[in-house]
Amino acid sequence: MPPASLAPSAPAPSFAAAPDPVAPVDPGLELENLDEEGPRLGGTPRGQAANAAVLALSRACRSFVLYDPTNEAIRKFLSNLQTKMQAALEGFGDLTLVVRPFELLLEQEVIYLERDRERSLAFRLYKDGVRKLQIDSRVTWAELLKLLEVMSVRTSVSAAQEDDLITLLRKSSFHYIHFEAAESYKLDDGSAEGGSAMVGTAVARSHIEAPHDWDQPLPEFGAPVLLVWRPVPDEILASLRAEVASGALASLCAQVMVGLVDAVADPTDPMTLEELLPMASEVRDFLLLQGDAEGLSLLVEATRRVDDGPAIAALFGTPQVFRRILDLILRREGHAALEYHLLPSFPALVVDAALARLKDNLDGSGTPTLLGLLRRFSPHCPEPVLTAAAQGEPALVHALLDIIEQTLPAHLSDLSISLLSRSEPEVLRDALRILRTQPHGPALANHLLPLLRSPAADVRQGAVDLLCKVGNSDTYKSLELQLMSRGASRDFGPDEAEATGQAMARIQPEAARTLFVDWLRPKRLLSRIVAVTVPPMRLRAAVAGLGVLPGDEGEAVLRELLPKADEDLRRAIFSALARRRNRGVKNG
Amino acid sequence: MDDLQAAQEQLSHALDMARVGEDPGLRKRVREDGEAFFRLFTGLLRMTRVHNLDNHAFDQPCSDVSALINSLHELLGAVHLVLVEDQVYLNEIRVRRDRRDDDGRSIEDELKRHNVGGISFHSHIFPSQIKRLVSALAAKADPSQPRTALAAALAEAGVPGIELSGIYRFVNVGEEAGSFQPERARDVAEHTVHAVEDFWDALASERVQNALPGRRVVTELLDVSRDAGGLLAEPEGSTAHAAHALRVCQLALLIGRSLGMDEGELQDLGLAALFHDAGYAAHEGAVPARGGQPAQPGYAPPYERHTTAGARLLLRQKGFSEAKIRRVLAALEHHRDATDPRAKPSLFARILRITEDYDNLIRVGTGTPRQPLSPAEALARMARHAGDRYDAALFQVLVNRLGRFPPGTLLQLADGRVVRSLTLVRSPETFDRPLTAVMRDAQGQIPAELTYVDLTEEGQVTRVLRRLVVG
Repeated sequence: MPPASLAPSAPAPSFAAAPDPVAPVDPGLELENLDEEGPRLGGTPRGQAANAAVLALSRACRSFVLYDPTNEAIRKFLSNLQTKMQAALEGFGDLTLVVRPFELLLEQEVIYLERDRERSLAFRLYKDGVRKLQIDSRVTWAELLKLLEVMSVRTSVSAAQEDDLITLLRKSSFHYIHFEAAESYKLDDGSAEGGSAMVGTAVARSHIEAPHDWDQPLPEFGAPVLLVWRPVPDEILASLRAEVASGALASLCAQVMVGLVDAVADPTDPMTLEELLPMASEVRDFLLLQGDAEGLSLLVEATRRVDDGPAIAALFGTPQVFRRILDLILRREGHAALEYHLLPSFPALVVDAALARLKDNLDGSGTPTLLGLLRRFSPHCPEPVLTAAAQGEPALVHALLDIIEQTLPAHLSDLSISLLSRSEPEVLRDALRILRTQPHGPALANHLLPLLRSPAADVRQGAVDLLCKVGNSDTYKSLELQLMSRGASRDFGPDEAEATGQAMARIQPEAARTLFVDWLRPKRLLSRIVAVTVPPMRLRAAVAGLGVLPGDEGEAVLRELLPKADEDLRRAIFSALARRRNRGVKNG
Repeated sequence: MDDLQAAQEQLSHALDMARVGEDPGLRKRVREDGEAFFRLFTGLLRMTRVHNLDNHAFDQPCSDVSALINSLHELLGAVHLVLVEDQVYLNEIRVRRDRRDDDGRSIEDELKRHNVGGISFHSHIFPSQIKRLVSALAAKADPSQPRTALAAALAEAGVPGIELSGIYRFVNVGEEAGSFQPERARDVAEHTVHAVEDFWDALASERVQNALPGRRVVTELLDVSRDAGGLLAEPEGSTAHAAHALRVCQLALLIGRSLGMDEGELQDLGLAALFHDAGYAAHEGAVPARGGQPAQPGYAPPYERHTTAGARLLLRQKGFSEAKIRRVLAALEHHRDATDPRAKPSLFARILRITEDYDNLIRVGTGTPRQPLSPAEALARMARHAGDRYDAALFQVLVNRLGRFPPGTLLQLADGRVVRSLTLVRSPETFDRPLTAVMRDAQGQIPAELTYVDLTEEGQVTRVLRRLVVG
């Protein structure tokens, strides 16, 4: 039976159907082909299965040199390891491998051979002292993964100073993976010459000594107490052991930083903050990796006790750090000290990090939080927000305009005007919406005129609406031209036509009256067949324009037109007349 | 999230963590310089087969080897080159070798002729001395005492400061477990104090710290103490602080083992114990020579500041590691009470507080005038403070291991004999009845031969003695 715990919970992906290999981290590195079988070794079925399993392990270890761990290619390597290891263990039981410098042996049978030191799994094991590796058939996927983790760390990371492979294997406390190791070396007992031979005596070992009164004075002690053997309950032993579990490390990190900062704060102690900062940075990175907001908060608070400027900036004032802190906050794992004590010190970093995240994923679940941060910090750091609003994707612009409206209203008008040079209708709509509420001068007209060529009717109409307020003779001409050139096109609808007519009437009433009356009451005989020669939308513009113009002539012209107008035009005329009545448009 | 996705996340996190722990300085430089040194040194030995040593072709490589050794010496202190089977280590850090350099006859073969498996350079060396060293190694080996003869030849040639060690072999895990071997115990104790002394020297000289030798000796201590039954005696000639570190470390490991710590945790604890007093290696107020002003050597920090001084030195080791954090914290807190109002000290610090005080009472004593206490009295006096100075549970764990008469305690028996306690507690029932060795017979004479008294079988303790009265 296969070890149930090793069986994949999801069907193993089909390699044949797998997508194209994903790009490696470093394209310059050689790609390893998963489908390539590698050196086929093992003359027996058992040996062949072991060979496949070991090759899968070797490739999975090396894969982290080539790929980011989250890469899809890594998934394929892991799946392959799972499948091949399962097949070997299921079919043939425990895998007991003797490690030689370049070979792995399964009961005298060479099942792995790789002479390239950089690629060789055997060499990697051997050089770190492993001489025998046994994988029990009951091994769990979790343990196999841990083995891979340990070996990958040794392969991919140059070398952690303290933890060699043997230490890492020991620390893993495997149940189903066993190893034998050459852990240290010693002088061979066979030597007849005794210990080492020192040349010369002038350089005999001499060492630094502790001061003569070291560790003194000792505290005073009372009278002796009769000692007796007392069992220490298991639960107490367990709770003591739990203090050295890795999970407790984050709080120890915070504790050590607090203790060291105490020394920095002590004027009699020569410890300086500069000496402490490298370690504080290491602790910070660890806490960030662990996602330990509370630990980070303690680190912030401890550092602030002795320095609120350069040290905090050195530790936390980088974009990389802030991106990770933002991750914590977005996962709702933030901590009050971070949000209320650290973030205000670096508004620009908060804003940059939040904007970067919003650009990547505006519809994510963290968006409200990000927008909240921007709302909070944009007054202290407006430029990046304004720049992002001016240059961002339409949805981002939309979101940021809301924030700017609330927190940076003084910038709103200029920003919106600058947005009029964009081409996206969504952006233009937002800009026009805001500009409708803002005070502005005649210069705005020049920014609005190009919008008359927008393919979006509502944008054109929005621009016309605004031009109503800021237009001049040039604007009037542009609107007239718009009517003349686009008035017959299909995308020029009645609303736009009416808005244009009304705008022209408001900008230059006399010129508009002359023009519109001419369109609706032609003086020349030929032109009297007005309904045929003037395009319908131009008529609608003229009707709407006359509707807002003072004086009786306009109303008279409209009433004269009624009998000749078609249904749509007649409705437009009634609307215009009603508007005149409602607004008291008569003599101005 | 499926298995594979979870696996990817786990591996990603593990690799990130490992990268945080990297020390980009030490290993890289030792490896690079070490490889270059080994390659050049091998090349020099090979050249002796085809060139006379007067040939100028030797000049540049000798100069390069000298520069590399001297540079490594600045970095590490004494430079130890060790060849074990087909591996090469420089100060415990494995160095890559290029087999193409062996040219049919490996450097091991060259050295083995002289019964040499390792060379230590204890001081700077000049290019001319390198040439003489190579010359001596290339010469015919003495048939009877090759290594001793080589050392003599080097002394005669004016190449001091070099230590030649014998042939090494790998020791497999557990290979030497199972029976107590006094010789091995002595070696391990010696390695341990040397590791502490070297570490202190490195700290005092502001050289790069390498915790690896310390970790190796702790592993050895764990192996040998498993079967020791008692505590290892410090080797003669060791510095007082290193001997203290050895004792504190052994006691701490006793407690750690009783708690059920795993091997990795015990190693971390052992290292923290070995280096807990490292602060005394600091030189406060030291000023280098500058602008015609002479250097000022500085002074060791006083008792009150040695803990922070230790932490300050230990935190200079680059790269994040769990062990380092625990070590720094232990150095920082190991004199704090278990009930310290600032914060409860870390577990390692609480263990070291107990073991440190115990050893200090035996070493220095208390009261006026100060007199070293016997181990039994030290432990009994400390017992009054279990629960305030000392973590009560940890203290009881140690008591349960050391017994009423801890190893080293001198006892007067009812028949007049004086014995010294040798063993740890063998069972709860024999808590106050250790195996002992007779130091004085009933007539007050030193016995002619070593005699043991197992108090479970005979002997009635009437008194605990602080010291043997001479005569």
